[in-house]
Amino acid sequence: MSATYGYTGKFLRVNLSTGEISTDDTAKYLDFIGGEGMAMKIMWDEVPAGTHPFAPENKIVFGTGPLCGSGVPCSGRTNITSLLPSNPYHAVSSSHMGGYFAVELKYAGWDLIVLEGKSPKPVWLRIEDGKVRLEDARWIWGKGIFDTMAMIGSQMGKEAQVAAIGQAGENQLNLAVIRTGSSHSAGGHGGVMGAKNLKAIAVRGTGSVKVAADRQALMDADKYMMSLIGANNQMVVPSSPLPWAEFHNPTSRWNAKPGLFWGAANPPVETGECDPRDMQSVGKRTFKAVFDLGAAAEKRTVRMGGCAHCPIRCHSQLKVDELAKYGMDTYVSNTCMGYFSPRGIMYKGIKAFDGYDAADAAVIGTALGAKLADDYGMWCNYGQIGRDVKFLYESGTFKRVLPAEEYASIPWDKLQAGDATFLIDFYDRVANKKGEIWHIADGAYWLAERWGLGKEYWDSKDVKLWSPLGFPVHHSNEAGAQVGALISCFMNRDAQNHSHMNFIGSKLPVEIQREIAGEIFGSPDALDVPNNYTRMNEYKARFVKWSLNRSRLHDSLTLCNWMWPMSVSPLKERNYRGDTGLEAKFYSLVTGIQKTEAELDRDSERVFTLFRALTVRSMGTVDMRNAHDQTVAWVTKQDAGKPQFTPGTIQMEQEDLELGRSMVYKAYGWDEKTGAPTKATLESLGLGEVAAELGAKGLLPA
Amino acid sequence: MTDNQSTLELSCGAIRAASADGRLCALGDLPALVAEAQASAAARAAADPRAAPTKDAGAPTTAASIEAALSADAPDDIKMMRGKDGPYYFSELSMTAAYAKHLFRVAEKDPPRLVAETARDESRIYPRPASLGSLLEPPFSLSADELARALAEIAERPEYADIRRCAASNGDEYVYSDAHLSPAHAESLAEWASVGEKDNP
Amino acid sequence: MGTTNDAARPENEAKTQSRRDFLKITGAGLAGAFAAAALGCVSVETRDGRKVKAWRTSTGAIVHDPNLCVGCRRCETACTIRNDGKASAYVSRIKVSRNLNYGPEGVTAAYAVADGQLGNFRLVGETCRQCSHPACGDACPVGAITADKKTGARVVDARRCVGCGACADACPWGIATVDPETRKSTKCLLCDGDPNCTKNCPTGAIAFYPWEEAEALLFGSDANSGASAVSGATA
Repeated sequence: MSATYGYTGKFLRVNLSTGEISTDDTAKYLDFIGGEGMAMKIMWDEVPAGTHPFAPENKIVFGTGPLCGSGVPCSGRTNITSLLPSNPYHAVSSSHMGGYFAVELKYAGWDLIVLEGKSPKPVWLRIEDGKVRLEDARWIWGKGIFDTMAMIGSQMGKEAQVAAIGQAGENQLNLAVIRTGSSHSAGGHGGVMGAKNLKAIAVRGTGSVKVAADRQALMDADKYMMSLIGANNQMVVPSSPLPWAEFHNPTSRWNAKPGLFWGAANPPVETGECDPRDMQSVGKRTFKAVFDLGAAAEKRTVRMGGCAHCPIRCHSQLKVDELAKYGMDTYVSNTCMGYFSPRGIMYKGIKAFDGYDAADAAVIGTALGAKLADDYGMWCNYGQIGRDVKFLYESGTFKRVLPAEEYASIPWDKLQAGDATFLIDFYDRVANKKGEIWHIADGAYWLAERWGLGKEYWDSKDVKLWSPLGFPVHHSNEAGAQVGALISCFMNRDAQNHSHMNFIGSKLPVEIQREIAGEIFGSPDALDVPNNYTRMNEYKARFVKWSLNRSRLHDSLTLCNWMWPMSVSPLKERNYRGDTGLEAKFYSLVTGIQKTEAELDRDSERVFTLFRALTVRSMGTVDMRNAHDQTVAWVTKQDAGKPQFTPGTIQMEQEDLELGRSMVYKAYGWDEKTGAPTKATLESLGLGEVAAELGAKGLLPA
Repeated sequence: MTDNQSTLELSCGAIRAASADGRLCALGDLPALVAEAQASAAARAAADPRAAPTKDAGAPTTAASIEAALSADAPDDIKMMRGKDGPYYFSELSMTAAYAKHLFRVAEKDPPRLVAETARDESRIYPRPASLGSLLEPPFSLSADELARALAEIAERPEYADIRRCAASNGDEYVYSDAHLSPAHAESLAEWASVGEKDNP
Repeated sequence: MGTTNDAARPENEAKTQSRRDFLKITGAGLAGAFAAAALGCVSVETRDGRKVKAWRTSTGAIVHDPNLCVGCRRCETACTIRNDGKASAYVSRIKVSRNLNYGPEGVTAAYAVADGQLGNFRLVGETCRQCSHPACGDACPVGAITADKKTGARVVDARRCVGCGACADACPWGIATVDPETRKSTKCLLCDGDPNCTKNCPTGAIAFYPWEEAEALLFGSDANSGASAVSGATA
């Protein structure tokens, strides 16, 4: 590939067993867009079914897309694809981390990094533009992530962007992350790097991303998008009534207002009125610290941080002096789940102590946990780990499965008393694989198997698992009825899908949203009034398909699916309409490859279908409906006594969900009975080879 | 701005300035504001040797004459809401009608009506029950006492029979209109807003 | 504004002088000095026989406020898309990424409390001071750097630049940068009077100040970081 725009045209292959480093051509994979799409194709072609995630034969692909580095709003994410250790079938999955790593990799001249094999001893990968080599990691192996990054920075220079694992990943925990920057975590694949003896990847790039379009055209598109962008999760309505706003919603993430400050800035920075026409206050709209952690976080907030080229800052960067008491660094950054998961482990709450009231104590304790988890590189299975702790303690399971001596040595009294120093002991035991308790990091499925957890675990609404595959709720039936519910059924971990949320959660009146849904999906019936659900219909199926496709698109371009698509806008003069054609517009401008919205959606459909084929191959069955796409029992039973589809309940109905599955299968051209991709559909997407292999294995539907 | 601006122009200027500042403009305030603007204009004219001699301002403008001028000839952005003590004005150039309505309800100094009508609007528009906590914040800024008395009075008055209360499991309280939201729906929405949404980030 | 940041660069202690000093040097010996004023920069002989370049003062300079900066780096791509037709951090004429992680000092053992994302979250962006006596312009052996007629910004003429890097070495703040892809130097040109970084900052952390104010912010005792009280730089 020469004279490439957007793409650099080349990607890196690293064989950790042999130490061989080579270059490959991105052009071969253009049909799969970039990032996640290209990674899925590489996984299909190169990693056989039955491979264990920790085996040298597994590959892990760090992916960027053509838009990373170009400055398009919210284009800083890295997509990481590999086999997923916490999944019962070790099926393929993607994780993502924000920050600046993807952009640096592009500036160094690389679209992707494909790693395979296992290094005989711990190494880190050093990339300085075109100069790539493996370095001895003896001096950083065993260290936490923060020190690891600093030590690498002292070698490579302060500008280097690092992706690293901590002790959790080194110890090949299923629930381990790969992390970059202050607080950006990709969940589930840390152990894969650990199994390969790869401690970190560090990049320094002095190059650039070329753009095909005339500069003014790109600047105009940026200006246009910035006029449509709202706040975090594309909420376009402020939390307080404000003179410029027609609507407000107290639960909105557009929670800036006069008199609300980043209190630990010097001097404090007022978030203020943030009129949507004021382009210089976009970064103040979302005060996530107060949104996530309450009013007590205001005085501790230095600023809001986030990812490269994103004007919406959703990482709360706090100054918590009290952490010095625990031997911790006093500056902590994270976004919602990074704080919520340690808070979830402290399931009885964090109690007032030492002159700090409960609200302050909660911020301190939560920050302590977030910093610990980020240093060890622990994953939480989207907050599941906290609910698991609660269940395991309250049901007496810990007492039953842990050796008596180990059980006695754990400071349960602190957990019960709401003393957050429990987390210091907890994370140390788990990340460092001490005793038996560390198996909580196997993930729900393997944990249930090992510790004999039955119906009380799986069928409990409080435990909040979604799938028999062991992953939890994440914008499921509480997010647009069957739309969220079905989206949650199709992935190999919690869906991490906000295509629907960034519309459903916009905080506009539901009638306006239903009008817009009508324009995008063909009928307002695609979107139910919250908590007043109706039966499944074909428009909801279209909404599901669109959402699944757009997530793949964003993870391939890469764009942040916690902001995109721009289905709505804050502008009254546009009737709050956004522009769902913006991904295609930027793709065309940056790469020079002209694609319409429909064409790019078709490419994403190819990516998603390939992902489905990969899952079929991993699971060795075509019966996806029953083996993969089901929910646990409480989903259809949660509000016993309230009939489904009446106001006040979000309970689903089994028959209705099965109809929904059939409709989504049909929308994708998959077999309506089993939900497996058909030969005809695969071939129509240019995936004939995939069809052939599946056919040879007896994995095509009849 | 010329020195010989009419009463209408000066009134609109005052209304727009108030709206830009996030405030309504009561008719009762306009005569003084207009007089002030005329005096400044006259002072500027007197200080400027090149200015033409000012026309005599004549008798001070009355509220009645301002009201008449506005209702006859006000430009499209100037809007009016009629309160029990007279009209309030705002400019749509810098304030939405929705926000102006909140300010209007505050200005009317009838907390039960403010609470009930806000509850009805939110129950109808979004739909959602209205959070009592939000009524203590700007622009409503009711005191806890005022709110408690308003709720007590609402419970007594037949014209507010549709107004009901509910609470989330964390203690947050809400008020809604059962003309637009059934109790089951309102309760589940309250629970979602106060508890559910935070549990599903 | 934030406190002064002493990011000294001892290897580049070029003296940058203010407008007042400029007038002191040239004094009455300005006859004919502005004959070549079209270039915004002329050579004059001082009373004591030194040959110095005299520069037209810039209309102003861009100043970065670390207290407001949220590290999005939109300024960098705004700069390079507009001025280079490509997206880059290295070539950006406002420098944020190099201090993003560990501040201007770089990695230290006390990184957790130092500037940067891995420390106290303070993000020190560095901007061109449009020095009244620019070290970059004085160092250029081919006269490729001159003061723009309209804005007074010290601008590299890419047609004359030979990519030697003398400007980059001379600048105490490392603003002038040789683009490794074009092998030409480039530095802040104030975007013909409408700076693109400023417009695209989502928190208003970047502002263009007219010269007197800019000078005070960048060199005065209240100097904002991004600026530094570098030894040798005087108000």
